[in-house]
Amino acid sequence: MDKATKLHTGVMNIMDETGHRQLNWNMSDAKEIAAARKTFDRLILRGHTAFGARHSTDLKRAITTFDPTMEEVVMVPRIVGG
Amino acid sequence: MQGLDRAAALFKRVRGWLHAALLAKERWDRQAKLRARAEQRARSLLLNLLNDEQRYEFEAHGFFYVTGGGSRDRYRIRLDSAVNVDLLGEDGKVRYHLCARPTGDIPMYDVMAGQLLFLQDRTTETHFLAQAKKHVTLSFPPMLR
Repeated sequence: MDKATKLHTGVMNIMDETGHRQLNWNMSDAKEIAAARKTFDRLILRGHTAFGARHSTDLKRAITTFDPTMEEVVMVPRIVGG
Repeated sequence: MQGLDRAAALFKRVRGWLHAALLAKERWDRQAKLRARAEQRARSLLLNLLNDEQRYEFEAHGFFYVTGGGSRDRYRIRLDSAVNVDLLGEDGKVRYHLCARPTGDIPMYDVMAGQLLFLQDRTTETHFLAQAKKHVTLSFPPMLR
């Protein structure tokens, strides 16, 4: 994959028992963006917290709405005290 | 004749036990393999989220430091299954331990990644601290724990 194509792909890492599932979307494909947004909203409703960054190497910040221009999003399940 | 019947029944029972044990071992091996793969994937995600300094600390010592996004407090996240977050004082000593983690049966490295993300963000640090249980520290030098 060349650099130009890579820059237009977003990835959502969803933590689970397998280590994490990955959902990729092409930033110029409305269908893929809609699917990623749907997953994002479903997980937020389920209590996950999302952290994302415009560039994958940047520090991840908490986000509450899906931004398809973000290169990387991490979905963390609900935090509980132990 | 009766003795032979009894021996055949016993043999059948032992064969059943061995078969069940073999199936259990296969299942256990399969689960262990899946678990190891999950830990490996989670570790790669964690390493990807750490900066160079944190990555070095983690590879060398099994822990890394995080600065609280809102409080600017210093935390240490250790590779441990429970109570693995330390809140450090200005002198570098542990003030107390914190226990809070993402729910679900997720690998330990994902737990650490979740704790890192929550603590380094201004808004979620407060939420993490509100959820976390505080545990008093014993008077060991911090590097030993």
